[in-house]
Amino acid sequence: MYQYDDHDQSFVEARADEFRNQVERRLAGQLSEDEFKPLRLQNGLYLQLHAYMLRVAIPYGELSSAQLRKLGYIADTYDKGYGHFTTRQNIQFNWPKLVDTPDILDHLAGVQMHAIQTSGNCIRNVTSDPFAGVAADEFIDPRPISELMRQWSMLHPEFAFLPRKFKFAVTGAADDRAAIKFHDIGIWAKVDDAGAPVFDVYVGGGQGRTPRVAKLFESAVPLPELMPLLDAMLRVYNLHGRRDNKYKARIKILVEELGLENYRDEVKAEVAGIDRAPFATVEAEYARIKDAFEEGTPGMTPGEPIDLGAADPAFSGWVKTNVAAHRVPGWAIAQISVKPKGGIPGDVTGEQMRALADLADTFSQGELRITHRQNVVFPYVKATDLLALYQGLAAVGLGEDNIGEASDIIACPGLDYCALATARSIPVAQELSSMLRDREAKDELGSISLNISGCINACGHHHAANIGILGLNKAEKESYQITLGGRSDENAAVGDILGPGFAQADVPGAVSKIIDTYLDLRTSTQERFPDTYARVGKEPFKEAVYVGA
Amino acid sequence: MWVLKEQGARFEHRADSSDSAAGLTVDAGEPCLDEQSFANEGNCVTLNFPSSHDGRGFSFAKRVRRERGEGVRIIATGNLIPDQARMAFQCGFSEIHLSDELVSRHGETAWRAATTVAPDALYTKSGKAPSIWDARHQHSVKIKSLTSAEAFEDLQRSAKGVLLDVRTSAEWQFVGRPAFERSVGIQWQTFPYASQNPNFLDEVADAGLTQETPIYVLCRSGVRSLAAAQALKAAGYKDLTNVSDGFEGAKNASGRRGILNGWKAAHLPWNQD
Repeated sequence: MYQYDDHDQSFVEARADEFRNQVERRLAGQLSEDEFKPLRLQNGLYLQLHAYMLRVAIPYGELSSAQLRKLGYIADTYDKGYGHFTTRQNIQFNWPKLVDTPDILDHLAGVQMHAIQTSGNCIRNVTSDPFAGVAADEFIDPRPISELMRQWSMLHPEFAFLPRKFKFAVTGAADDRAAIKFHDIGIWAKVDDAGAPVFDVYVGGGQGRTPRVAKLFESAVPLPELMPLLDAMLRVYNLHGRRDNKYKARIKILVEELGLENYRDEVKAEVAGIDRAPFATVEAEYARIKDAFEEGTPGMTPGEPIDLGAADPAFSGWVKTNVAAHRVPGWAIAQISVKPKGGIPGDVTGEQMRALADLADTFSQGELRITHRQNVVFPYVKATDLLALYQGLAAVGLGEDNIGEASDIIACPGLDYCALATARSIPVAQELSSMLRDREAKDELGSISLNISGCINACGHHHAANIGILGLNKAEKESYQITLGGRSDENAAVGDILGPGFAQADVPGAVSKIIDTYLDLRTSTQERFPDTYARVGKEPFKEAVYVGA
Repeated sequence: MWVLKEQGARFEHRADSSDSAAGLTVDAGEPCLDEQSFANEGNCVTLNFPSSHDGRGFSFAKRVRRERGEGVRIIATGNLIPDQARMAFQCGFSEIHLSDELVSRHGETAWRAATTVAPDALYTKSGKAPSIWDARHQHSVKIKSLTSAEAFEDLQRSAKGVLLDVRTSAEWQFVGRPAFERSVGIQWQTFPYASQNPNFLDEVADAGLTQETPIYVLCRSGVRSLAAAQALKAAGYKDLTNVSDGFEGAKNASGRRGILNGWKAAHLPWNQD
């Protein structure tokens, strides 16, 4: 993985010092809460219902075992022994004290980490494919361009006070595992005929209360043109994005109101005159970063696949759902589910973090990834080590074999923690997880995505799920609206609202009926939920849920 | 009214606030300016920040600076916070005009420190700030700048740092020289004709200074020392600091040196031959 040089290191240390100074000025009353708010947000510090919440950046989801151990230490020392993996491949802690946060940032800087721009109206942590560098279907490793963009966006003086938050995602594979079309700007990295990296740029995607699938802005942008283009795209947004209404302030609304063509014309005019000197070294820097990733990649001698014929069924079941194809034969990408039956999606204890770090040292060259579905990936596992890894995981309660299944639920923290939430997400996720785990054991449900958001801001990505659940507050009561047919892959689509909402107690029953309907109507076990839905439409589901009751 | 200038290096109070909205005054949210708007307004534009949350002014300044070049004065006014001063200068603002209220609430220290507590280099070059990408790839050495007091503090902490006094022998003799153990005197210009010393680099090498030695270059008020540091940089020296206020410092209002700033005025140790 990428290792900091002296420049990167002194940058995060100076930033931690700067934040210490800002906290001191806030505590001394020099900064008002209104002035301090964007500053603390740009260091990942939210004021939640009960306490502050600190979100730590895990750029493109990549983490070393040493870093994970430090996160475990922070969970035990400054939180109540937990951390929570987020849908931006980050981790957040729910109970730190304001006065402790500068110390936490110092701890993070000590392991080449930071919390810069993990919230606030600025460029957020760049997310990417959790299989980057090892996926069997990859055109080009998306990490070097993601790291280049991380550096470009860090404390960018022009884009720290945008109309609203700004999210980038990058992928470099045939299957989009980074949901790039649900981002403000999504980048699909490819290679041209000469083998040079080129980038398809999508703009205007997003979720929240106005979900939109991003549109293609330009295809095959060469590397030297990409950074000036992104600068220009952001500049036009910063100048013209709406600031009168925060719900209309994302770039998706600007692109819609101006029209894609007009937005593109404005950007083209801007980029034509842009000062290129700052980007003169972009190619050299990209090459340096690429080399750094290659140096950090272990040598992998191709081997034989393992024979699961006589294997323990629990182990072979885990391999079937949780192991993905690796680019090197005889090696495996192991996905670790952080979605135990009846558990809280994405929650890990300090103890589990240390156990995962130890396992990563033994079985994955000390490297791991966090996924936007709130799970963990070991990218460098020898196929012959899978059994020992599985046993090690099962021993610490991380052996769940449900990756990609309906019980692999994405959920936001909801009303249990979040100041914006209108309904609880966690108890709904826990109940559904228990019900769905039982069904998965009996029926062959296959891969289904089910996501839950506790309010219209859609942090739980419900729009992008095959089955989405949105918690609202209707007449002082929690009401859960169901959407169907969303997907976040390369055929991204926004789910349709099924009908009137449900009381919390009725959600598992409704979801169960939706699944029954899918099982009845699918042409084979190979037909995935969104394909069945696209073929048969909403009506049969509606009938099963509302009429068949 | 207070004025913050030169990347935050200058900060002063002005009794007269008539200059606070100089030239063409626009709200940061308005669309960009055309040639016509500048033609009548004396090449100066003041951008008002309605709130510290509204960052349009940064992009606006970037555009104006690019379109109008270095000659145009771009002034930020309104509701900025100290932490945004760095961003403002990096985006091309030349001045920030602040109300007395903003300065007294945040404190003068916070405004003075605004551009120094943050990371001093960004990855991508923006404005005059140095860039990490350039440092990585242009292999260029940056000449640091410190006041005599800061330089003396550094020198005392460092075991290797050398103070290189490049004034003339006459200045050493008649004005005095720093009393610091690891100091070397090598003239950049020779007395009395102020012609350049052709043996400067050789003499530096002969004095035992290597390309890795941290060298703090000092002259009367920071000008000759910078030229000397640039010559050293070109010769491959890597760790160079210009002592910006020199031994005697700048002239004060009555035209006298040695009072306003500089090694002597900072009461650092010195003696005379």
